[in-house]
Amino acid sequence: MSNKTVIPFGPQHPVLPEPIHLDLVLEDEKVVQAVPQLGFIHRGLEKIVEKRDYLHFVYVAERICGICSFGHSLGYSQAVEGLMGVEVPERAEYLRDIWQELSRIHSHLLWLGLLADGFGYENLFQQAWRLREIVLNIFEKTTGGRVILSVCNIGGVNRDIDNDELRAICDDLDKLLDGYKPITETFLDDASVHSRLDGVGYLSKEEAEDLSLVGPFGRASGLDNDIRSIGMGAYGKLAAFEPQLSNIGDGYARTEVRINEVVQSVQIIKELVSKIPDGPVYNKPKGNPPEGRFLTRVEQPRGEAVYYVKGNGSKFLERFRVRTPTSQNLAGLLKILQGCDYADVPLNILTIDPCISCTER
Amino acid sequence: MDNTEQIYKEIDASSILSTIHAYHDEGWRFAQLCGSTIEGGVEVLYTLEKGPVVENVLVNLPNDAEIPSISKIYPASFVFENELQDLFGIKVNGISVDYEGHMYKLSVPSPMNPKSQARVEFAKRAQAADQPEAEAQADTQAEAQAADQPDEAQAVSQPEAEASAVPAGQAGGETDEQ
Repeated sequence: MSNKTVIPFGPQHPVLPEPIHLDLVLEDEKVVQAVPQLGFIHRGLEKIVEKRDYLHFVYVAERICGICSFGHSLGYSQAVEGLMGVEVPERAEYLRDIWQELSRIHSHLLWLGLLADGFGYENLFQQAWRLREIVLNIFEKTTGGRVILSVCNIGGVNRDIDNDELRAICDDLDKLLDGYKPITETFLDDASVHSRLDGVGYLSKEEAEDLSLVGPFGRASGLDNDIRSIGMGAYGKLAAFEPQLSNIGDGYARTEVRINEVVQSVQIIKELVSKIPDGPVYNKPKGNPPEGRFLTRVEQPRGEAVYYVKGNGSKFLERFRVRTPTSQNLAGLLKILQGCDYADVPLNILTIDPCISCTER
Repeated sequence: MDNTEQIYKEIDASSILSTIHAYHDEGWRFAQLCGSTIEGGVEVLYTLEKGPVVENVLVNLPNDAEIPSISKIYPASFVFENELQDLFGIKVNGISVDYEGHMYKLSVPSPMNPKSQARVEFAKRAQAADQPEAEAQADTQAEAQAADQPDEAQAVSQPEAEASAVPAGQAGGETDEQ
């Protein structure tokens, strides 16, 4: 019988941009159990809603996380709009989804870079992040910010993008795709990458369903969980939307799904730009949120996020709740860590694309 | 705007497990679990989803109530159940990974529910600990008031302070020499 060893992993580790700690119980080189420790960056942002005007809180919601910042402001705005019955102008819905898809591209490119760095391909890491700069430059041109955009608001968006600028964005994205193709070939066809990712962290479709996985983590196991399919906002105006799925269920499949989603996002942006109507972009909400509840969902780069608001008739909301993709996927992470080799732990953690700031809020 | 129909069903705490089991057996996915403070207790909201449809199950609980964990049915719920314990003081029994109220590092127990027993006791302890400090503060205020009085009071207190400082310094020096 072999002895069990407990090895602490994190909160500071090269593959972890944010702090999470795992106690790994090992039997020889195999992980038999992983116990996470959270709470390093819990900020209690949900509680602040009780003391901030509902119109101001959109900027707090946006600061939950630096990567999916736009999605959080979109989710909060969508929830309050639902509670108050505010109609969002059609052009604003298109612009929101264009920014959301740009956020997905930048988030996936950031993750691809981290993955390349995780298995020692530093040049590939820099190539991915170089391409991500194109998206950040688009953010800067259209909103003035590169990380916190402060552009989504309750009732629409704060800034319009004129049609010439929208066409210029499509040209920039074409350039991005030109540079993207060679790096995807390395990610998908390189023998060393295959040997590092094939079979790592396998989950079947049934397991993914049981664990209620969200985002590319679930879609890589064949679970159709993409909220964009239900056609909320401008997504409903797309000619067709097919979620990117894979039936392989391992680390390679998660990479493939995200790589395909970047190309799909570029196509979605181009279609939205070709269909965007003219008109206003902001419909100022009147009065305070009424008494009641509203729950909405947004497909963030890491998966579905749930936003819930509860109003009491005053300008302060009684409760704001955000269920982020990583907090939902933690059970899946613990599952894939069980039985894996110790050397695969960093890659297993990376392949779920964890965001701890979101998880702890 | 999101036009998803908002469905909220209220149930008793005793039927949490059977209700959630029924949803699971019908193929619903777990979406979220959260608490909210209400008059006289905590309201727990379970959200389940099936494609475009979302249903919410509401359970009203008194403060410091105990409920069973659903993490055996939906493993993803363990984070949210621990959060419910930490932030609202609701005891959730049988969580698959139970931090027993220590998932987050909190300076105040159940910060989202000021009426929970742990929080009330914490407030009482803090008040008791503050009491001597409050008395000391009252003394300081009295001294400050005395200091604001006619010059005689200052004239007396300053030499006293100097006198007490000098022997302390001398004593230190003597100790070093020894």
